[in-house]
Amino acid sequence: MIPQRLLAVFAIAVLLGACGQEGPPRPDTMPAGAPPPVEEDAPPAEDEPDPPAPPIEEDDPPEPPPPAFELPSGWHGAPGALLPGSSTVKGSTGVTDPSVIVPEMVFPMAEGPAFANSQIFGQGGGGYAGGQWPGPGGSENDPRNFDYPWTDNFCEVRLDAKHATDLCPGGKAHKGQDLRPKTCENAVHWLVAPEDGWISHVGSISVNIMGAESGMKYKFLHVQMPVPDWVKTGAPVTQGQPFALASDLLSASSRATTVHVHFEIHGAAEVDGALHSGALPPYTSLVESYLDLIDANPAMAEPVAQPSQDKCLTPQ
Amino acid sequence: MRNGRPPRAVGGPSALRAFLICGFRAGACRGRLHFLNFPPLGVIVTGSGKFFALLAVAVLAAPAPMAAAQEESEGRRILDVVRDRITRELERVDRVETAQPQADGEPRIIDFELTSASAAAAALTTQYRQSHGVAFGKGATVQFCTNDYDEFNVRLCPYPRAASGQHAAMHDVETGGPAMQIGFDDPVSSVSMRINPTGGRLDEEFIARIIGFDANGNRAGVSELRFNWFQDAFTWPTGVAIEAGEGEGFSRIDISLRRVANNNLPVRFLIDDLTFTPALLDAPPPVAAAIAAQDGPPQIGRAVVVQSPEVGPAQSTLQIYPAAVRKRLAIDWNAVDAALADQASLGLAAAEPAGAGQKYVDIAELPVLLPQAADAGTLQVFGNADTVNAVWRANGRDYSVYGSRLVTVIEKAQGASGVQSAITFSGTDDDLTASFSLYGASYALAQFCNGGADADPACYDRDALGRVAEGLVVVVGEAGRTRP
Repeated sequence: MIPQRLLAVFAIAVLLGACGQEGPPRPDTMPAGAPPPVEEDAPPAEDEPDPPAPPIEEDDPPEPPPPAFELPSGWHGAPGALLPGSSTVKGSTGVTDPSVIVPEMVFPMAEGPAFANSQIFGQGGGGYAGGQWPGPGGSENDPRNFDYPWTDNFCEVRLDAKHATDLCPGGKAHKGQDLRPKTCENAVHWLVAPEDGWISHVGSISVNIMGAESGMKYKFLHVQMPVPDWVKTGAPVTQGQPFALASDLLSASSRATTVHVHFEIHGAAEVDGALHSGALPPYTSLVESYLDLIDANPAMAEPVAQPSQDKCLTPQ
Repeated sequence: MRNGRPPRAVGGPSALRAFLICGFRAGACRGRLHFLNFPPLGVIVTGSGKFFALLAVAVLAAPAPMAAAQEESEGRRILDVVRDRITRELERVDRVETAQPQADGEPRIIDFELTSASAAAAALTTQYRQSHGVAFGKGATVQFCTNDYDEFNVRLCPYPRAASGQHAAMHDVETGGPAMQIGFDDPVSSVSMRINPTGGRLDEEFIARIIGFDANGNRAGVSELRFNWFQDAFTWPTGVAIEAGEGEGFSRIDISLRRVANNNLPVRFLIDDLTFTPALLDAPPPVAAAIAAQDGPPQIGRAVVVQSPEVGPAQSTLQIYPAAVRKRLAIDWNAVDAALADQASLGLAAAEPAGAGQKYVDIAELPVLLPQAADAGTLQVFGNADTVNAVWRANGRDYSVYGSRLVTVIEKAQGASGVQSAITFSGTDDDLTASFSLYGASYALAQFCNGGADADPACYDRDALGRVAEGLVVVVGEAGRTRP
């Protein structure tokens, strides 16, 4: 049993660490808790020769700041490029149309880094349909799940009727994009309104927001419950306003999924001259809005080391 | 219009309604058919089965011996006078029907006075389809009888003249089978007519039977009457009717007449002044009817590009990918106006939005779908000129209907065309949503699960969602009234 005093000291230390981080202004209710920065430099190999000593100068200039993190080339996969073996019709791609559905939206998480990738086909994922679409297994908290590259999973396999969509091969698919937050910690990462609008529904583990400018409807699934008191149907929201936390809730009574948010954009689309209404591919809208987020604060793009496993356990 | 006179609205729908109610609802008028001002000699009412099917008969004319005596002593002149007295009254019925288009729920009449004598013996098929939504099966023809006499004083018709005018419908069992089939495009709650054999013996016993069928062709009610026929009446004395149960309707009826003395053999017969009442409760609201009428994937009509990589500011904020082409759909305002008129005739109205909801209805430049009923204060509306979202709670569940006239063009969607339909259903772990197109715009109607799908699997009931759709009405606000 850990003494309460020790816990309090630890919490203060964590808070102090969070205060030192750069980032967008957050509301007082936002939980702090970002882990301290991790040393990136690996120790040199034993058999390598020592690097030459720098020339000594009489007046050393001040040490330059470390270069800002830059997104690696290939930081995101192409739209429609699913993980191999993860599409409903095996071997097919998703929606490859690169058009940005909602250019006006902001990234739906308050902070970076964030990672668009698959839950059931990422590390720790068990695949789908009892192994007919196998997953890699392993740990959900594998660092590879919290690193680049992003992967589109709008057309990832789903077979039940509620996942019907006209836009994916086979007519049924995931029809949303999964986003992992910076770390695997549960119920600490804020979700924000993509644009000005209104809360249009609060479900058992979901919140819907209607955008006042685009008219699109955004659906956030796996949000931590309960949401803040003000988050009620009809409540106005402003672009970037935090309204809920990402969680591992699979249903109101089950915490069987990973810490992530399932993000959907709903609207109408013209496809081959016919009218489609429902979930639209959000991937490129997320890519563009993520670039906006990290342009404002490049440090936010940098992956961080994952906390210990017990920090990622569901709070009881 | 007949006889060159302008139509006159005499009697009116309320009188027609009273006619039906008095004639065919047990005890409503104590068996009297007040409309013709003749004392009924007898009324028989029977009912059977799940449906409240009634059949009534009224002997309307004076007793046959009296009529015969009049004819013998005063010849055709007196007969004509008496006949005209009846005919005048019946013509009023015809003119009412002609002059006043009937609203749903009001009775309608087919008097078979099609055009002229040239129509005699013409097959009855779809002549009344467009005007009345009624079609006839095989064996039905139009008969013409003036009640005139030739130079040998022989009547040109073997039966008393029709119940109104000079035409009647006849069913021939040789060509059409034992029963006359009459189909209705929209379900009817009641059907009535006078029925008469084309021949028989005085006081001979016949059985008239009407069987009603629902839209699926299932037997939904039966009405049967035994009666003794006499020929020498001024007009046909026997009326028959069938009435559906509350909330039900007939899409087809089969009428037959059988001769008891001949082992109930089906015989040829006539009917006239077929009267029927569209089933008020079965008539779907315009929105539901429009949804149900869709067939195949909705096609994009006229649309104007409002966002594209080449036009507008959207592209300037993007770094890698192009802005989607966004279009604004044209609304079929004529269809909207027709739906509004239909709703008004049915007395349908939307629930009142709470708070500032009406403001968003008023700025919407598209038809807004709203429920007719919602829990007090729960109907909220928000949106912009092109998109409106209404959310409400009713019957212990949350609902949402989202309408938009904006579409985003998606060109590289794999396999999209193979699974499209007029209405698509989808959902998440929290809702079931039906998407469809209406009046040119796109709509999504959702019902939400209480506590998630695990706790409330009924939220995936499509029939329940269909019932919600039936409760929707279309509303046009201030901006919409300018037909933008």
